[in-house]
Amino acid sequence: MYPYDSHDQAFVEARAREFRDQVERRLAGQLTEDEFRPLRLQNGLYLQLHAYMLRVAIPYGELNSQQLRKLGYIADTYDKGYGHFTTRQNIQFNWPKLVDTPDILDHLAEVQMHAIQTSGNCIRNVTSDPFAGVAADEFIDPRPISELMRQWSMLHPEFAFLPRKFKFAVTGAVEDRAAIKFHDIGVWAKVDDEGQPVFDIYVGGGQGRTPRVAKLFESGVSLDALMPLLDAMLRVYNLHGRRDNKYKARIKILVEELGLENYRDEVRAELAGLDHAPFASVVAEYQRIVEQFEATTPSLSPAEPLDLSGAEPAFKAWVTQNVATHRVPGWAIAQISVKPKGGVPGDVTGEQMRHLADLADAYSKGELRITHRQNVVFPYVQAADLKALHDGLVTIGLGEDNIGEASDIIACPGLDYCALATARSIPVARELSSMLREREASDDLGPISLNISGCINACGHHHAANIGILGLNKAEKESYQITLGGRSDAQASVGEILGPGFAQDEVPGAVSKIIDAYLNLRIDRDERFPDTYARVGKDPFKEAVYVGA
Amino acid sequence: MAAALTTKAILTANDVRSGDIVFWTAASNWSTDIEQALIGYGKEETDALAAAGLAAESANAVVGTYLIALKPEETTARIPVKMREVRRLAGPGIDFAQAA
Repeated sequence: MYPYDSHDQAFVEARAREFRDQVERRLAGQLTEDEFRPLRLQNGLYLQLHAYMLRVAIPYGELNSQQLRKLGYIADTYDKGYGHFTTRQNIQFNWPKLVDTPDILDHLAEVQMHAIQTSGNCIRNVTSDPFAGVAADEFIDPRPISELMRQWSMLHPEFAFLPRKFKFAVTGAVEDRAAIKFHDIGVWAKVDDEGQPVFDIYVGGGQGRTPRVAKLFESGVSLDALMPLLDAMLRVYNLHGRRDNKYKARIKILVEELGLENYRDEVRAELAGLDHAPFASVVAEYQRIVEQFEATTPSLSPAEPLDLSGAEPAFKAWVTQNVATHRVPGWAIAQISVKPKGGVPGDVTGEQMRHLADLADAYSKGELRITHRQNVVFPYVQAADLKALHDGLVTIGLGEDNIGEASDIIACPGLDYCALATARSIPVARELSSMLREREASDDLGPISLNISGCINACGHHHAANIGILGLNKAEKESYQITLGGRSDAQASVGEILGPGFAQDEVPGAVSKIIDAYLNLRIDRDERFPDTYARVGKDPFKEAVYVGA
Repeated sequence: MAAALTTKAILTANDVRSGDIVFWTAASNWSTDIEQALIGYGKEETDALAAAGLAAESANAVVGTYLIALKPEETTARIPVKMREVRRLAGPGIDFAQAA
């Protein structure tokens, strides 16, 4: 992973000192809340429904064991003993006190972490493929370009007050595991015939109240042209984005209102007048970052493949469901589900974090990733160590074998925590998880994505799910709208509303009927849910759920 | 900032230092116990609560003051009209948080 240099370290320490001074002035009454709010938000500190919430950045989801131990320490010392992995590969603490946040930021800086740009109308944490650098289907490791973009966007003076927040995602593999087409800008890194990195750029994707799949802006962009192009794309958005209406302020609306061609013309005109001097060192800097990653990447020698003959069923099931193919034979990518049956998606206790850190040291070269599906990935596991790893995970309650199944639910914090939410997400997720784990034990449901959002802002990515659930407030009662057919892979699409909403206790029954309909409608076990939906459409599912209800 | 209500309401905010949910009491201070919350009846009393909120924000003791409308039919009970406030007062229905 990318290690901080002295400049990076001095920067985060200075920011922590600066925030300590700001908090002291706030507590002394020298700053009003109106003056302090933008300062705390720039350091990831929200005021939520019950308390302050601190969102800590995990750039492209990559952590080392020392950092995870520190997060566990923060959870136990300054919070209520747990943290919540988010859909932007970050972690949130739901109960920090304002008076403690300067100490928390100091602790984070000690392990090369911070909470900068995890809030506000700026460029947010760049997300990426959690299999980066180890995926068998990878064209090119997306982390160096993600890091370059992080450095470019960090405290960029022009982009600190954009019309709205701005989200980048980067992938570099055949399969899109970063949902790049649901981002303001998605970058798909590939290599050309000479083996040089080139980039396909998508623009105008997003979720929220106006879900859109990003459109291809340009393909085959060279490394030296990438950063000036992104800069010009942001400058056009910064100039023309709808600051008059926050609901129309994202770049997806600008691209739609201008039309892709007109937006492209604006960007080209901007690019023609752009001062390219600041980008002169981009290629050299990219190469430096690549070398930094290479210097810290473990050297893996091919090893013997795993022999599952005679393996106990629970371990065999976990390997089958949770382990992905590594680029090096005899090694494995272990996906650790943070979706135990009936549990809270993405919540991990401080104790679990410390145990996970120990397991990462023992079996993953001390490195791990957080996924946008709120799970954990160990990227460097020797096949021969998988059994010991699984045993360790089972002892801390993280041995669930449901990665990619319907019970691997994404859920936002919802009205249990979030000041913007209109309904609870977590109780619905827990009920569904219990029901779905029972069904998955007896039926082969195949991979299904099921995501829940507690309001139209769609932090739970319900639009992008095969089965999406949106919690709304209907006449002061929670009501849940179901969408079907969304997907976040290379064939990204927005789910369609199935019909009238459901009361909270009706949701598991409705989802169960959808599952029943899918099992009846699919051609065979190989036809996945979104493919069945694409073939038969909404009506058979609607009939199954509503007729006779 | 608290907006005035004309029927039945209490004043709430978050403590600046801790972030805890607090309520304005008859003793003109803040408590984390909703049972201590001073209920304002009618426009004059809820206006007074709103004014107390503004003053407290100016003094930097609390942040985000606002009035919670209560169900009027329960004369002394503190039952919010809005679902959001019911959930806010109940706290997260999650074992992790409650057990910690």
